[in-house]
Amino acid sequence: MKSERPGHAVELTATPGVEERPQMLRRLLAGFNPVWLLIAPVILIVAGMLVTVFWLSFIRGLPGTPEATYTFENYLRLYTDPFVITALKNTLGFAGITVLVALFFGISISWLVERTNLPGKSVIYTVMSLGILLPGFFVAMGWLFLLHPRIGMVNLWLMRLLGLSQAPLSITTVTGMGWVQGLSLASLAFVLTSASFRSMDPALEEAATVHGAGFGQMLKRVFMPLVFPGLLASSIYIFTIGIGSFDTPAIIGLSNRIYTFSTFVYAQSVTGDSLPEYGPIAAMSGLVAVVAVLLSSWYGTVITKANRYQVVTGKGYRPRQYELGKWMVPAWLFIGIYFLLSKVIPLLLVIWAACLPYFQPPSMQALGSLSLQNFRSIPLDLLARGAKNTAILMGVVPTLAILVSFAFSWMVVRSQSRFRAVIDFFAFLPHAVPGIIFGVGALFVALFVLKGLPLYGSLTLLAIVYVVDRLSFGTRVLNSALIQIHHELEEAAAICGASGLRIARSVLAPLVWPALLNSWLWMALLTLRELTLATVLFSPSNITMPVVVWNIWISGNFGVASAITLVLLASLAPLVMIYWIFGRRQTAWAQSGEMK
Amino acid sequence: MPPSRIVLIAATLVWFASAVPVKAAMIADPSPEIKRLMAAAKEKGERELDLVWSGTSLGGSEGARKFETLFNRMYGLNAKFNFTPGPSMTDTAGRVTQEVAAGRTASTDILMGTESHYGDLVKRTVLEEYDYSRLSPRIQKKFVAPKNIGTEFYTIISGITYNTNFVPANEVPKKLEDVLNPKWKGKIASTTNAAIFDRVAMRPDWGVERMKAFITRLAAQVGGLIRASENERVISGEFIMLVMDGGGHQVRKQQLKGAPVGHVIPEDAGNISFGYMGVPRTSAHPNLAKLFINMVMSEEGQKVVFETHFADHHELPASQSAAALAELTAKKAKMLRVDIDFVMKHPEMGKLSDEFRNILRGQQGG
Repeated sequence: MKSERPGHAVELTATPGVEERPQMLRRLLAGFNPVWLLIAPVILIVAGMLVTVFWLSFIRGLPGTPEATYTFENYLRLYTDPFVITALKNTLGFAGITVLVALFFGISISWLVERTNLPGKSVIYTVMSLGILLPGFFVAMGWLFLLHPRIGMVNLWLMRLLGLSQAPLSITTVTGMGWVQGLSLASLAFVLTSASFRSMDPALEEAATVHGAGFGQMLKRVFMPLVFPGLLASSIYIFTIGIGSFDTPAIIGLSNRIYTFSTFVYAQSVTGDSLPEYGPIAAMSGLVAVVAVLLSSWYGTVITKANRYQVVTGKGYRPRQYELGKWMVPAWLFIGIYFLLSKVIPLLLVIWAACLPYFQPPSMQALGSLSLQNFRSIPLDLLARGAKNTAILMGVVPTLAILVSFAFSWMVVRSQSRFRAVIDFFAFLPHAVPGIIFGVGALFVALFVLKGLPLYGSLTLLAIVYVVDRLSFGTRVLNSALIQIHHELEEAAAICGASGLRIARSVLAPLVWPALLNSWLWMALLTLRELTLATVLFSPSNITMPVVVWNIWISGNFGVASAITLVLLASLAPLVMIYWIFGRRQTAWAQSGEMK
Repeated sequence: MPPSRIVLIAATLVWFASAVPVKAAMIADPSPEIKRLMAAAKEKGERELDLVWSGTSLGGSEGARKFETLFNRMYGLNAKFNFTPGPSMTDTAGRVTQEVAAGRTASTDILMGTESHYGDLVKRTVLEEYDYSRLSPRIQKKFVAPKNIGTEFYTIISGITYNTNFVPANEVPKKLEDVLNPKWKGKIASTTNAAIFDRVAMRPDWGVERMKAFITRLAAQVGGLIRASENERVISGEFIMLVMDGGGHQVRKQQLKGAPVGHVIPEDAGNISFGYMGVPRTSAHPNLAKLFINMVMSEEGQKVVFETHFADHHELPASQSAAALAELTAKKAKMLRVDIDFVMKHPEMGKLSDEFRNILRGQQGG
């Protein structure tokens, strides 16, 4: 290997003496950042997956089989289809409304929990977190029973009450779908923005107050600019989930012929052939990747101005807690309504479905047929297999994902690397590529490329893909947390002679510890509910709980699927305890900050 | 003896009686082929069967236990069945195809599919070629798939699933075009993949153009599209009919639970298709898998197939599906037999299905 730069060629090609070797190694390693050791393999995996997806988009037939041929047909079919415009329009509307609803509830509750003296915060924290475990298809079915134009109970009641001939409300619209999805994702908005609220410097608010700013002005001039990166990251993250989301559009949209990206792609892949086609999905993924690139680059621009958002300094940074006073009751009412709509009603529906011999809207007649038969029909051996695999993944995936996410976030937010934007782009991409195609790519690589490794159908493969997929979530949370920590703390440590790794371990990690713990717990939850990747990479030996539920649900056994969901929720008692403790600790942190 | 002890003993005896399953006869004089397979399984150390199919097929996990019991009694073995509910037949067929292409052990020892999946698999080297008629005289040559890649094991009779609370008996569609009645507008569903219509189009009394015209009118009539397995959305009243469904056997299961659901085969659109079983080339337990298929086709096995799947092969002696079919043919309804040969003779059905799917998709923007 020869360097183009004069002088280097001699050094690298000459055979070094015993004394020269360490010196040369030191020189070589001088500019090397060890964080790359964590980042590089992940970037390689993501890049490999993207190449695979790109390659798949030109395949007609089952990849890896002799019948597979190269074609442009997938692109032609997709982009010459006038229906694509309709589907894209619906998708943008659906994802946009999802973001608005999720942010409205998520941010409001996040602010109430983090910045006010609202009592019962640990309860809110626990419910917000665990509520996300309710499968999306149950939530969607629940809303159909409430607001379907023909069978929706609210509609029937209103029609009777007001003497209407037509249903006044309908959930079977793009807006309705966005509402349902947004309610589910408000929990994510909550966790993605809570770190920003938690880390706010009270000095800024005090300064604003001293200068006579009212609450509105403070919101506009202090709060919003400070939480903007976190807000933007959440919006982009949720928007991308909205684009790829399948359960709500499939249950509410597809059954009413309202196509979004995911259901359109699903419909494209269900061809007249009797074997699945992945090419059209991969071709459509290209379009989503472009949207992701645009959003990611916008986020990158905000990140480059990160120093504007640094509020956590060495001078104390615990945020001030606002007294709610007479607003306490409305605040609880607001949270109560949100819980009712997004958690209680869907949970009641799951309980209802689990106790019925067949699915039917609530009625007195249905009450008479309630039984525990579905619980007795649960296949226990399968449940044990699924539970064991899920538990292993819940321990391994968040731990590895946090480690890698921290490395990525540190490089993006704290380092001077000129590849920062690229690194962040790679961290976000796994989230932008639809799970189904990401999974198909991983499946193909494990089956045909890495034949020598025992990866195919294994839990290890699931763990690797999950870690890469969770990266975007971890980096969104940690980016927001790191942005707010002032450089002066690291500079002080550096002056004292601490290495980069030591600074990360001893200065940054303790400061972002709440965010790290929060991310870990959330990643554990996201791992627990992950369905798409687990379904695509499914094998009898790596089956997870969501796949058990989904496979039983799609075979028409709604009752047994509901019963297993309830068993799953009940078995999460230890996790509830962890969240409870974490919730209490969060509260304690906030209160101790207030005292300071 | 105190009465309480009598009650206890009686209860124990009743419990024992109910716990001991009805004994199935062990094959008294197994055929040379069965003996050969049993010996081969023993020699290769095959003690388990890995089974993956939909949770609703053959009774899912509970059904697998019943088949395991019957299997071990029939062959005097102690094999263990590892059943896992899998994705759709299409996805499982795709997965096994890729596994075989990569030279990996197949995730299931038995691949279950319909004539459309098997029609595709005939062209590929995925399933082991084995003459299943060698197993038993009950497995007729006509049941065996082309290239001997599998055998038919139950009959599918597609039709219209409807909610009996919303569709009174006198208004149940008799012909396919009856579903176009304006009173059903917006209230009925069809399937996302426009299932069955391509087959009906092959009937001489329909033809492609007439079916296209029908689908165009149906697109304006349906309120939405659901998967064929989502009968529960008809039962709930969200849709009052599903035109056409994946077979009446699913409806029978829900009727037993008391669900307000019915199934009708339109006189002019009746067709009979089949469920198939075959053994992947890279199956880990190919000998036990063939013995399993033999069991499924036996009289005892077909009883369990009907008990768990609510359908059996109508052309086998003592079939319980045959009665329902006889009732139809008595009404002079013409049934089209759609097997793998039929699918292979009509390659245009794939394109037609795509076209029908696109028409049904409609242009509603929401």
